[in-house]
Amino acid sequence: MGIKELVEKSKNKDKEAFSQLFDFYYDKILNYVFRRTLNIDYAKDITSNTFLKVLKHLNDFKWKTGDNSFNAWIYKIATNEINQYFRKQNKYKLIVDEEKFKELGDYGEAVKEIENRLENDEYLLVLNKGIKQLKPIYQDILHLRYFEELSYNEISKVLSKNETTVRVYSKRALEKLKLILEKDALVFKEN
Amino acid sequence: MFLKKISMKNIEDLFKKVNKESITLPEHKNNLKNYLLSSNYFLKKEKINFSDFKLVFGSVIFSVFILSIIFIYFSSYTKPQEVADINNFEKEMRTSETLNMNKMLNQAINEKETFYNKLTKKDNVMISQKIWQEQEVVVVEVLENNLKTIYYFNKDKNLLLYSEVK
Repeated sequence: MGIKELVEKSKNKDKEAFSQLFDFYYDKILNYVFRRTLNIDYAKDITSNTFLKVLKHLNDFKWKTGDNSFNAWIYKIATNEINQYFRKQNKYKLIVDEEKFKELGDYGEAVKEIENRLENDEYLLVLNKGIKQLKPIYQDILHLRYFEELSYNEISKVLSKNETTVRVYSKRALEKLKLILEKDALVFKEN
Repeated sequence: MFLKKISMKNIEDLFKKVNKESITLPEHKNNLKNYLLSSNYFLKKEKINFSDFKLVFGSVIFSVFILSIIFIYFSSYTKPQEVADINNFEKEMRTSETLNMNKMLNQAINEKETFYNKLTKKDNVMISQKIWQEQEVVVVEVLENNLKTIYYFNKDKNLLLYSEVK
């Protein structure tokens, strides 16, 4: 079943379809959020809130811009949540009710493994340090373009910007990132 | 070892070197999925069918009908204040008519008196009193050009009762 069909069936309260849609997007969104925040706890909360909002507003979703509309829409929700997290930081909260929140549980081993992997991923740490010094819109574009590998067209829908503007911003973001990395001598030389 | 000068290609290569292997949190994933699937969203199947639209449409039409009746009723209903105003207006009209009639009568009477006075001021006029048709009258006889005109006024001399030419 294609994404469009899954979305339409989910709109008609089809649990199986929504379950498949969730499976398809969960890892994408979790990884996107994690690479932006580098914090597994917040990545869980932001991912949870993203899917809660997807479900809440699913009936309002419309295929305005073609078949990749849903992809752009879900990344838009996640990006908005990430930006809220950056604005609120410690005040960022999960929107699930407290009793069920406990059910979301803890998973020590998995978290430890991810944290270890993060510590060893020097390239991600270097890039993230540089990207965090950029304007929020540049951060959004670089992550969506180079980590999530979204097309400029999709990014333009996620950020509600003109595609040409996104291309220009992307170039500027890379140039600024280059200056930051040079200044801080943060780029590793190939052996 | 670090690069002091880097190219745009170096930057793009850096992105490619990031570990793209997905992180996974199966427990969180399952719990979140179960939480979402047990949400109210999936509890009731809201299928909007034609009968729902008919019901809504019917309700709207009925409401419009009721509102129209209420509007028509209130727009045609004459308020007590308005009734009082109308009555006052009619009363004023009647009073006005009465006053006008009195005024016209007085004017007529004045004209009669004026006529008597005019007659009696002329030369060759003879005034007398007599009983005419069982009432006391004032008779004014005016002689002009060999014609005698006789006017009969009531005793108050303000009403011309009869006249004849001899």
